[in-house]
Amino acid sequence: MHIFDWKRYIITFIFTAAIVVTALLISSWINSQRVDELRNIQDSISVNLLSSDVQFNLLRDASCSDLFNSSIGQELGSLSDKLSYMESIGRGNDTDVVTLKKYYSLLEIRDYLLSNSAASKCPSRPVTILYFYKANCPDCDRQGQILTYLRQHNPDVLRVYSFDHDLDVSAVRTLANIHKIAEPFPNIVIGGKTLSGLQSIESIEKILPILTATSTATSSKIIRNQ
Amino acid sequence: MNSWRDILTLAILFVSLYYEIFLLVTYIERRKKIHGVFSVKTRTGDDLPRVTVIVPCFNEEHTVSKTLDSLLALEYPQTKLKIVVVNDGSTDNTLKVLESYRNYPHIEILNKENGGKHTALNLALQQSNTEFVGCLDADSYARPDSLARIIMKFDRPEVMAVVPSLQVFEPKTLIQKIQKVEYVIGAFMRAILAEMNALYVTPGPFSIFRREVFEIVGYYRKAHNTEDMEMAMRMQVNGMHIASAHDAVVYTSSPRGVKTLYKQRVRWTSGFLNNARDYKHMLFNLKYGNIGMFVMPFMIVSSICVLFVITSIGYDLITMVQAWYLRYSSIGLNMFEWSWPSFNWFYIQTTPLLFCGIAAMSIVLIFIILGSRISTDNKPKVLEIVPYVCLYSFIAPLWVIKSLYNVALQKKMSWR
Repeated sequence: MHIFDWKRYIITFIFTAAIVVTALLISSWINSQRVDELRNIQDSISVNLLSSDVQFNLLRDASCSDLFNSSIGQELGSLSDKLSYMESIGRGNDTDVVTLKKYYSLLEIRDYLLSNSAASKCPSRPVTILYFYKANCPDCDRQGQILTYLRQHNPDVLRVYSFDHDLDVSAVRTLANIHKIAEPFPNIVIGGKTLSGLQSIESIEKILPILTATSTATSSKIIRNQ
Repeated sequence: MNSWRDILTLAILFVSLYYEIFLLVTYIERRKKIHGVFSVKTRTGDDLPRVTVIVPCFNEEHTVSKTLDSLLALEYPQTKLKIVVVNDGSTDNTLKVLESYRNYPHIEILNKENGGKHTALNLALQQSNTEFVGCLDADSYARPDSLARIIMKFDRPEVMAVVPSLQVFEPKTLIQKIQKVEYVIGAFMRAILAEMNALYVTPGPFSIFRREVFEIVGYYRKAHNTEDMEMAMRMQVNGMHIASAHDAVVYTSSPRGVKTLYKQRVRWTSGFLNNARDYKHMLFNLKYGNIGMFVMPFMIVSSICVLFVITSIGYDLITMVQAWYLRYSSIGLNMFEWSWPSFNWFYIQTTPLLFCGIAAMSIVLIFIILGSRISTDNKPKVLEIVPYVCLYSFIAPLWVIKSLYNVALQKKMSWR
C-alpha cells in the first residue's frame, strides 16, 4: 500500500529553498563587497589625483615623480582589471558597476589631462595610449589583450586609458569627438594620432620604440638572473 | 543570475538538492528503525522457513564455485535450504564445474538451452515449492549471516521481498574502488528508499521473495535485460512492500575497467529508462506514492539533465579554447610567459551555483559517512572517496547519454 506523505515534501521544499536562498544571499553579499572594494580603489585614486592636481595648479613645484607616481597607474590598472572581471561574470550591466565604470572613465580622463598638462615640465613622463572599444567586437577583445600585455610589461613607461564607447558619459563622448573616433573599432590614440582597427604589438612598438627598449631590458635582466 | 543557462543550472541544482534533502529528512525521521539491529538468534533453526535460492549461470566457470561455496557456508540450516543452479546454455566449462556439486543433496542442477536470465529463473521458480524463494547471481557471494538477516525482515507480514546490502567484492583497480564508494552510497539509499516504499529494483544478488509474489504478479519477463527492475516495478504497481536488509551483506564482482563498467551501466540505465517507459502510468500518480511521485520522475529528469550539464560543460570548454585562441592570436607565444599566481579574493567565483554545488556535494559526503556507518564492513577509505568525488561525475554522464540515445532509438541491449 503506497502512502504519500505531503508533510515530508513540504519540509524538504522549505529546507531546499532555505539553502538556495542562503546561496543567493551569500553570493549577493560577496558581490556587494566587491563593489565596495571597487569604490574604495576609486576613492583612493581620486584622492591621489586630486592631490597631484592641486600641487600642480597651486604650487607649480611638484616633482615629476610625485605627479606620475606609479601607484596611480597601478591602481587604475587594478581597477580596470576588476571592472573587466565584473563584466566577465555578467555583472557589467549592474547599476553599481555601470556607475563605477563611468566614474572610472572620468578618473582616467582627469589623469590623462594632468599628464598632458605636465608635458613641458616632465619630458620623460609615461607615454599614454587612449583605447576606445565597443561591446560585441572581437577585435576589441584582441586589442584589449595586446594593450594589457604591453601595460603589464611596461608599468613605468606606459599608461593605457580604456574607454567603453557605448558608455553614456558626455566627457568620454567629447574625448572621442576630439580624437575623431569612428568605425571600425577598436580605435587607439597614440601621440594625438588616431589609429582605427586592430593594432598589433609590433605596430604599437614601432610607434613607441621606448616599449621595445623596456621589454628588451626586462628580458635581458631575466636572462641574466637565470 | 544573468542568463537562461544559469537559471536552468540553478533549477537542476535545486532538484538535485531536493532529492538529497528528501532522502536525508527521511533518514532522520526513520533513523532508529534503519539502525535497528535484528538479532539472528531470535529464531531457532526449527522456526526458520524453507528457502530456495536460484543461481542462474551463463558462462560463469570462474565465479560460480565461489558463489555456491558461499551458499553452502550460510549460517542457515542446510535442511531448510534448497539451491537450484540453472545452466543457461553456457558455452564454457560452467556445467563441468557444476557437476562437482552433484553430491550435495540440497543442490539441484538444471541444464537448458540459452534463453536469457529470466528463462533460467522462471524454470527454477516453476519447480520451487518453498515459502521463500530468491536469486543469487553467479558472480556474487553471500556473507554467511546474510540469509538469516534477510529472513528476519519477513517478520513483518506486509514485507513481500527483501533486498540485501550489496558491496563490491575485493576491489583492486581504481574503477572498482570508485564503485566500492558508490555501492556504500547505494546501500544507504536503498535503506531509505525501502522506508519510503520506493525501491525500484530487487537486485539479482540475493533478493529474496515470498513465493506468493510470483503467484500474484507472475514470473520474470525479459524486460530489456533488467528483469530485476521490472519485477520490482511490477510489485510496486501491485502495492507490495519491498524491504531492505542493510545488515545482510552480499559481495558482487564488479567491472575492473572503464569499458566493462560503461557497458554494464548502459545496460542498467537503458533498462531503467525502458522499464520506466513501460510503467509510465506510475509517473506522477498519487496512487503509487513516493515511487510514482518522486523517485521515478527524479531518475528520469536527472538522466535528461545530464544532457544539459554535458552541453553546458562542452560550451564552457569551447569558450575557454576560444579565449585561449584569442589570447594567442593577440600576443602570440607571449601568452605562455610564466608569472607567479597571486591570490586575490576578488577573483574567486562566488556564484549561487557554486554554493548550491558545495551544498549538494556536502550531502553526498554525508551519505558516504552515513552509508559507512550502516555498512558493517568494507567501509570506504579517504583515498577511495577522493577519486569517487573527482572522477565519478565525469564518467557517469557517458553511460547516461548512451542510454538516452539507445532508448530514443530503441536500440537493443546485450548482456555482455
